[in-house]
Amino acid sequence: MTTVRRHSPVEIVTIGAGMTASILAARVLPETGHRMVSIEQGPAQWTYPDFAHNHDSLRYSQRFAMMQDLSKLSWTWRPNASAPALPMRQYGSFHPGQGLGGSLVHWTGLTWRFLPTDFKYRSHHVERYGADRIPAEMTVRDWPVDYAELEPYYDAFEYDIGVSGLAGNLGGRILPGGNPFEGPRQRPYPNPPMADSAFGKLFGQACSERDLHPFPTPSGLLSRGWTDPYGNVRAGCLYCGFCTRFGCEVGAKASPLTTWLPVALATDRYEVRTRCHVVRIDTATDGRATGVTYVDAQGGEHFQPAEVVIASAYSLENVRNLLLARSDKHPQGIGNDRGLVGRNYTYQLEQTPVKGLWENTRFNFFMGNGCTVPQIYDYNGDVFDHSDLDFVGGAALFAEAGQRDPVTSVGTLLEDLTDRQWGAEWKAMLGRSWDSVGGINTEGESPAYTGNFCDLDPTYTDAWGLPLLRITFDWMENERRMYRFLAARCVEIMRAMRPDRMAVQPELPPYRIDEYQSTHATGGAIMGTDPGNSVTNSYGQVWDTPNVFVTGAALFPQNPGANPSGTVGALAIRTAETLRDRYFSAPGELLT
Amino acid sequence: MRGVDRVGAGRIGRSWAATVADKQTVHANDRPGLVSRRALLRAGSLLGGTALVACTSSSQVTVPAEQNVDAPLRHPVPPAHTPTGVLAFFTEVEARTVEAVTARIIPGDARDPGAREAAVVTYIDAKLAEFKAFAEPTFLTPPFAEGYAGTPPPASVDAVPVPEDQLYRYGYQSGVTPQEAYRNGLPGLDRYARRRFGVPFVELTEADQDAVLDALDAVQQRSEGEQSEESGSTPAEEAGPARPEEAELDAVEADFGEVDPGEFFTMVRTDTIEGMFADPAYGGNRGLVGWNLVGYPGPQRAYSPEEMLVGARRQPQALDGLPAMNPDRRHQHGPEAVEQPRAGVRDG
Repeated sequence: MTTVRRHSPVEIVTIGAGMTASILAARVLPETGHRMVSIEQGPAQWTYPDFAHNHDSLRYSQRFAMMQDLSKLSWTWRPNASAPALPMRQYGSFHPGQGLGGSLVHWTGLTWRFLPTDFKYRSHHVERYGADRIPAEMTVRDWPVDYAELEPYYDAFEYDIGVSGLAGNLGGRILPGGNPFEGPRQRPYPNPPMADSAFGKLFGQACSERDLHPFPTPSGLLSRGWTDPYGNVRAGCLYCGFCTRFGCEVGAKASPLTTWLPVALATDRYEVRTRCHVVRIDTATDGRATGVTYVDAQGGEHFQPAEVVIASAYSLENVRNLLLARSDKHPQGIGNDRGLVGRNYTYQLEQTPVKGLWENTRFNFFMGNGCTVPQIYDYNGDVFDHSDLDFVGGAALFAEAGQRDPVTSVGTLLEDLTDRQWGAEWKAMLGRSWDSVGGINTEGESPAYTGNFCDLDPTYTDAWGLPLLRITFDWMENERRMYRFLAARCVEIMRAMRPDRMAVQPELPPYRIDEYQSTHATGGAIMGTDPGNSVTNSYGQVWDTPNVFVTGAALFPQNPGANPSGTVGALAIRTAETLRDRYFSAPGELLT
Repeated sequence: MRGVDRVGAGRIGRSWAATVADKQTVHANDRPGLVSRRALLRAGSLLGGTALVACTSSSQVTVPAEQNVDAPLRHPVPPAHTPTGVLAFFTEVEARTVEAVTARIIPGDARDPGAREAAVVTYIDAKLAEFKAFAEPTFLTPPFAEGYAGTPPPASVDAVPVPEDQLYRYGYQSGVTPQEAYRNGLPGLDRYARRRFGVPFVELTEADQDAVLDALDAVQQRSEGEQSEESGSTPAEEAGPARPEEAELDAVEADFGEVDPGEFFTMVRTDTIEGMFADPAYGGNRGLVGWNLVGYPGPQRAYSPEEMLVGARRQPQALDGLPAMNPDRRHQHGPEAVEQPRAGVRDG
């Protein structure tokens, strides 16, 4: 019989010490007397010394040194409810990080605001195209917040991390060079855009020739030195080529380590317990959460009581932790009194429909980072007229950026460009062309469906004996049509880039769990206007257990054609301010 | 299906100690600010790193013993000593066969080095010796999958039946470890070589070795080829080496027994690429021949926006030529360096 160590109660406990937890700590603690604890499954890690010598592609990109330890905990997947589910045994589809700072330490840095129409998804489409435009099985919804309401929080997030970009819509005024389709912003980006790569310039010119509207990728990497609103001093990007899947050794890439954690830890009322794994959100007989139970690295069991419990881990783990919190009061888990946890699981249509080969041209792909290219929004969301099209949705299109390294790129670089992917001919072509092949990518929407959802797996358990989360997901006909349209646009742009050779993937292949696409697993604990259509309100407060909050992309009703971090950050700041200013005057009450 | 060869457990060991032994205590950058820092970095990377500014950690911060640049916290870490070629996993016979296979995947000679010249087999041997299972984190809890064609077999506690043409979508599911795959796959390769050409793989001509590997590659493509028909997408062009007859592929599978020849080939190919293009600290890429082949200068500290457009002349270097990055800010000049460990974060 093991004894459970009971810790002193605190106001807030979070599962995970990633971006949203650190935002809460930095925004709630300094102006209150509250105490907060985060339980983090990974190790502590700091820019110095941990990232001081990290330019090792094999270790970080191929052996996943910064990612969650899959040997202990993974997720199962099946394409549909009648197919068998099997664990993702090795890293494929997505790459959740673990350790202090979470995935925002190894991220690529793209920092978007969603489009105003993204927040009114269903009503906008019904209004513009009629009610029959959305298939019956498509469970897309309006968000409970709109763009105007979220704008101040986007602004705050962008200034917290010092986003580098070029405004396209300043207070309704369309500015040259920026994204003309974005919602109005109250201020320009805090820093000028990143430098363009050679391939990015070629893409941008081709887009301009075709009267499209290229603009610089809004980047969570600093284009110059920056002192943030908290007084943290950070260096500009060195374009070293080791960014995604690496920690940044100069602090140019925004991360909790260099933005929110210093502020939060300076209060002495914030504590992060690393190498500790939460196994349960505990509840009292009245159904309210009382804290979390966790296991430390030595196997010792702890209970951390708290007035508020925040599910702030990776989206899929937040969904799982709600489902695992079963009790007499919540027999199907917290937030799941109406069976909605796990519903509206969505993803991101990230594909490379076309790549080109330019003989005798070197693009220096090994330099730079994931943000050193322009993007176009001409085919994203409902920016373009869908009246005569057979799908809803779209994607941002962008040129392949930098940070290419040989060990992770040579395996697939020449697929569809040479017959055999090994041998003398392949090798010779690799020698000539490794730096001469580049693609155009989509960052596409993923609508929600009744058939795509998450629940607890009946077979597989994690290292602590708890059921894994089972993902049921595949692309549907709408996305196949959307992809076909987008691939054709990518080919048009690629032709204008005048490669010597081209390889096209005209059709969307079936989803597969073993190929990396993006870490943007979204939905599953969605926010909404009432308990009949959602798990939480617009603050992430769980309808049926109001002292539990969810942060992160699990809240998204469906996923637009953009990376989620900007919106995750904006929502977290909004939740933090509400917790700070309003919640504790009437604890346990639903916020309106 | 891919990826039998990826993923891993951790391992204790130091990493780059030797490379940062000359860590200096130069207080050259008393003026805080990013311009001087960047300028110094630039100089450092151009001059081989001799001018890097040293750490001036503030007094209330103590770096835990296990947490310094010589012993990074994150695992897996590179081997403590660069593998030299003394076999640690393979037998001599196995090593010769593996080397022969890698030399057909990336052929070479003294003038245009390939996998043999890069010592790829040393990399693979060291990797297999170091990791009992995989080098990357891998979820190995059973049950594993069992492919079937036609009527589904009854589900059992030992195996999850999966339609054969769908298996590729799930990634690695066999439960076979890389050590097992090499140990049992290499005899399969020789069985096939003997049946088809009468001698073991290493004794074949290069053309016949390629023919053997083509068959393995074809088995792999067959497992994914069925997929593209099902999804309705048309395979681009079916040119190139003619795929062996179906019956021949079935026979290859029989020769290999419990190891899937397609997965075996994919594993060796991936390992060959790793050994050719990973940092030489791992035992392969000897003389940086892999990086020189593709024109990659190895890890560098910085490039300028101009260099992204026009290219950069850099002496290719391995990680042990790359100086560690040290913080250069000093407490008295303003906010404490935000990068360093702080109180309030510790293992629970």
